Amino acid sequence: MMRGAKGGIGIIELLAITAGSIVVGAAAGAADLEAGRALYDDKCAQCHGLSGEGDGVAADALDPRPRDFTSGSFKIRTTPSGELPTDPDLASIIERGMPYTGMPAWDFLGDEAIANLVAYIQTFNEDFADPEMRVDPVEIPSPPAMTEESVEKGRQVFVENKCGECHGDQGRGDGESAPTLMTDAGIPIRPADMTKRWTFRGGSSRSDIYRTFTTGLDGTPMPSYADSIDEEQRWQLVDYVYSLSEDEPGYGSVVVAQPVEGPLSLDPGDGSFANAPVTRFPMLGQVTDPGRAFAPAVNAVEVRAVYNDEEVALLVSWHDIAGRREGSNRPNGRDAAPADAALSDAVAVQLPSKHGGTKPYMFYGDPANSVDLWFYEAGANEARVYLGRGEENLAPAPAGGDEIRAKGVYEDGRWQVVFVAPRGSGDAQRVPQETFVPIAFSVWSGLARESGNRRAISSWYHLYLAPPDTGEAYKAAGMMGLGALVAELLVVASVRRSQAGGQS
Amino acid sequence: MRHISTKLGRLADLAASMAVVLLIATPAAAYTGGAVSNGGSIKGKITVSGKQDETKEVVKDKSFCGGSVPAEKFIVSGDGGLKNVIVRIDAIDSGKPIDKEGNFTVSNVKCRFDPHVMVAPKGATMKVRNDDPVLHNSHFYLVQADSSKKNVINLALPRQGVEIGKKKILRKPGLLSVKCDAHDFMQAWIWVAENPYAEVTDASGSFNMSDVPAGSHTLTIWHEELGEKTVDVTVEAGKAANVDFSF
Repeated sequence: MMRGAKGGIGIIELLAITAGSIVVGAAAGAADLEAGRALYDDKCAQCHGLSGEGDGVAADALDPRPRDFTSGSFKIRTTPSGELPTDPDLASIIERGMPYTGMPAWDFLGDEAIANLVAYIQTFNEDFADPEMRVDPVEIPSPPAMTEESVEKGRQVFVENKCGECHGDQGRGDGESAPTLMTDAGIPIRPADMTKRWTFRGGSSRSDIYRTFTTGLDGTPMPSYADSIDEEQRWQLVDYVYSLSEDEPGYGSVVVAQPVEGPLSLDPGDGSFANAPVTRFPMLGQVTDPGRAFAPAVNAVEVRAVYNDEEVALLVSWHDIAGRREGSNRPNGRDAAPADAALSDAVAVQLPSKHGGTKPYMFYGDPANSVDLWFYEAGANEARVYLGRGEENLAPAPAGGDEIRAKGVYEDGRWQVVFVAPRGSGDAQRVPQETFVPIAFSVWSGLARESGNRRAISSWYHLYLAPPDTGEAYKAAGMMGLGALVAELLVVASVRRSQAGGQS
Repeated sequence: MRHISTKLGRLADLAASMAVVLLIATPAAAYTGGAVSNGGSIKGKITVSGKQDETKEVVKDKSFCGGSVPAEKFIVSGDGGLKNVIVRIDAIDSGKPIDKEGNFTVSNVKCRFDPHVMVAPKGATMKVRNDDPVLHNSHFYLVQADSSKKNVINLALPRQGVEIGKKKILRKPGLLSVKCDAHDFMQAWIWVAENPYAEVTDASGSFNMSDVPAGSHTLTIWHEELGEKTVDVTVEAGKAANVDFSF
């Protein structure tokens, strides 16, 4: 029945597409629309839908959602606000993809195939066939030199034009308006985190950023500044934004804890953390167990660690556009949280319960290999400890176990949560010296209604306690080496002397 | 089943939109302006009863905008006259000249758009202006036949005094919805007219459409909340036809 109904509509859609093809075919010239259609149906329709409405089978799992080609509205363009993209604009986005979205780079398809796709995509909106609706791209001059002065002036442009009201005073995407922003389709949208340039949808070069300021991102609240900030100041703003971010995320796989003297602090501003190296781990949606998060709010955590003889302290930090302390949260559960429940932010650290065994299954352990979960709930501003033997078998740790202390601070778009845990001793040793201890992280954004299984997760990585007195250890080894060398030389000399004596 | 009903719904939308497109398409056949020698006028008053305006909560820049702003949906005079109703003739292909040189500006004043409803001719330059010391943006959408909104342009007005003029905003005829993404309670409406026979009712709910060629016409009466109605009217040369309408 469903198939029959669908078939009936299909004819209408086919007619519509065919009608469009004829018109655009003439404009597109050499492009092979039939080849474009075949390729589109094969590679693009899963997300963008057979009729280009952005409603393919995978669409609901994607945020940002796939482009609705029938809207004629495109984010990344070289044309002014509200105008159709040029053919090279469309080809470019297909080639490059869009970082941190479901849109991969399709450069391997080759220029000809991409040109066919570009022509076919244009059949979804009739405006493409209207020469009056096709306008020239804006000029993107070659970037002037970036200097300390241009960065500082750009900071002033940022302040004067109130960029922080959406993007946050520190550029972390946490402006006052951030939680209220919607796409044209009425779907919540997060402002770009300017401290993570690699996530910019339209690319991270200075020219890319200039283009975004100039043309805006259609379909989103990001307007065009072409008429309100002059070219010189737009480049200064580019330089300031550029200066807020490293070039690459530099994701790591080990957090190296530094030894410290004295008690460990729950204050993220404590000086001991400043001397510990920071490791950034990518976070992805938990999509294995029911209650999945296909597009989690948080895309990375940064971790530092310090330790002393008794305890280890982890400083886990991440960016979220709003810090939610109201309400509560929970580490597991398949059902969505009730719509009226206030959800606080939360973060969890996961380690194997037992050191040295088989690495537990990463989703809260397995029956044979359990995990300890340190669950920090912003609402309570403290951590609870769970023992996990699987996603459906996670329970508060038995009473009398180790107490985990934790405190969190949210400021300027960034959470900083410090966990202090006993290292344990003997068989219960949790974090032994000079061993790669498996460690994994989970983050829940209350604003994004993440709770239980709906969360951002990391893979298993490692925590490593750097040996204390590293310098002394090397010195001792060096002295031993030197001593051995001297001893050997003495032996050689004495042998030579005795041989020389023997010959005389 | 859900899938089917969506598809059928879309088909119904398609049919509806085709019907509307046909209606709009007829007068779109190009309007010719000139002297109107045998014209009359259409006057009238649009009224409503039992409607009160609402306020919208301000969620940003409260210190400047205040805690709430009027929605301006129902500005009703003591005798029921309804402001901000657009009264227009769609199906007319000649009549008085269109003035495309006038000043067509939507200002951002005290976190509201001023005016709330206006008429501007297709092809003229539309200006947007920020009179407030807070950041605004003017995001224009063309309301489609199925009442979905299509992005037209999104202009940043980050500082007080910024004014931008664009012809592009009035490139296509129809109803424009204007929003500010920074203040989602802000709303303005612009009718982009293809002929000079479109008026907005004043504070008393009255309108006066001059130099209408004699003959039969259909008045379309639009209000942002109450929707669209039509009234037939016959204009006699040198006389004023009266159309009072109550929603």
